[in-house]
Amino acid sequence: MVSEAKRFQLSVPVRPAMVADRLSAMFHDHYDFVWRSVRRLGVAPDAVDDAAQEVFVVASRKLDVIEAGKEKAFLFGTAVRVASDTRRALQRRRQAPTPEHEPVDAGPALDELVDQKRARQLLDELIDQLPDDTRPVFVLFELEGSTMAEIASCLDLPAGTVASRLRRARELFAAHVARLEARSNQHG
Amino acid sequence: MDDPRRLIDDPGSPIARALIASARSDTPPAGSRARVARRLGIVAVLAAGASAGSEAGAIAATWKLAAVVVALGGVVGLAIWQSPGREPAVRPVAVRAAPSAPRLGGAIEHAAPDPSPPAPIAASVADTPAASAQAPVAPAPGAVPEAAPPARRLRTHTAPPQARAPEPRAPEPAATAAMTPEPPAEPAPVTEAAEPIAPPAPPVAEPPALPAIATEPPPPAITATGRLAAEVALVDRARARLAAGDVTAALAAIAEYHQRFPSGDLDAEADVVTIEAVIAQRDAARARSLGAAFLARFPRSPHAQRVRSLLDSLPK
Repeated sequence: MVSEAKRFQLSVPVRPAMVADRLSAMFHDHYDFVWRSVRRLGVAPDAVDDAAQEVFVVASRKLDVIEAGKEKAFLFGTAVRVASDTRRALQRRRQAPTPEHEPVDAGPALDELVDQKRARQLLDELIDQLPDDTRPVFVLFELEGSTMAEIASCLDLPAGTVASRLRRARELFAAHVARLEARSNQHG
Repeated sequence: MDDPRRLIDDPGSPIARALIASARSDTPPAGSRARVARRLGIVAVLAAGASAGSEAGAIAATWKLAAVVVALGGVVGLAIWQSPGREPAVRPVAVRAAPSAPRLGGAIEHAAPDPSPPAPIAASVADTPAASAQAPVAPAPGAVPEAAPPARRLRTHTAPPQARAPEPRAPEPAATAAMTPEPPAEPAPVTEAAEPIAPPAPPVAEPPALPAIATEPPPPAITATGRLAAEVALVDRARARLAAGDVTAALAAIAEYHQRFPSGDLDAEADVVTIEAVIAQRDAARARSLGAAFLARFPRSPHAQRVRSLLDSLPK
């Protein structure tokens, strides 16, 4: 027990105030954003907390290289990778769709869309069908309201690439929605 | 760059609008923020997290709240240790102690300052660049208390023996902590952390962490976040050793990790390193069994994919 007090002194870190402050601040400011992002990027509902946590664990070890003012961009970039890992892990397991994750073809009637939860589920399924490289661009632009310039900076992509990926994502998304619309019209 | 009109602003596509709009209202479910903050050892956010999922107030305010919590109870660790009932079925990336762990005794025992490492923690990690960069290493007074189910962990042949179960040094702090009055140990759910928790415990001499914080309040998250940083440093050290080809040192670092953080947040990652090390030892059979255990335990971990490819790469 003698060593306890000493250990406490010895191990009081020199720089951690800053580090801890920064991680806490990032968590504080961006947790919802990170949570939403991994969710929209295809992580299943019951794995979202884990994935969000992973994003911040990664951030905690990269604090030194995260530029001031670029925290959100870093977090999103990390979220994209973590979500991609998690999605791959799940896809290998998912033989049949789980009940809460029905394929879009299950086809809801249009009026069901008023149900936010159902709408969100549908949205996630549609986003899920976008090609991997377009998904982050779509999420940032359409859901987070980022500008294309911000997206280019955030994902470290040329503006032209962002534009073409966004165009592709929007076309595919529109096509999916059109199918949905057609089906709901059929249903009456 | 000319941005196209966003779908949400496009009157021509009501369904797309409805779909997009549904996402904008999506927020983490109640408790998610506090839960993840707790796992990350971010103490201060808990107070703010009390406002359930909203992007709560300024950080300064958070510190103040946290400081109040500290001053009131002097038992941050216990306060953080939310009631087990709040833990949902979702398993954390690093699977935590069974929520059914004995509530009071468990909390007290594990809230006592990490009793395991006799050596100064700082010294033990100081030799890695990552460690010195991220240096914060602390006795984790505010650290999330852990209950440690001993059988959970992957073990390797080469891991140095760890006297875990009856921790030789544990009884002392635990016993002292047991002198703490019980009411504060029955932690108010964190959502109510700003409520008066309980009369401050009479100064308890032994566990230095609690009084130390109470008397000279540093931001409480430091040490807790320091715990995460210490975990990261150890796992990074294991990785570095493994990358350098020193499998034994890598496994020793992992063993030290498990000893110091019985329910660490990087359990899954530590297991991945262990599997890689075992593969480096050309013990395919053992790697397979460790890999299978990992996938059973962390099927949804972001690391599961890595483990699967490791297993796939093994000679048949």
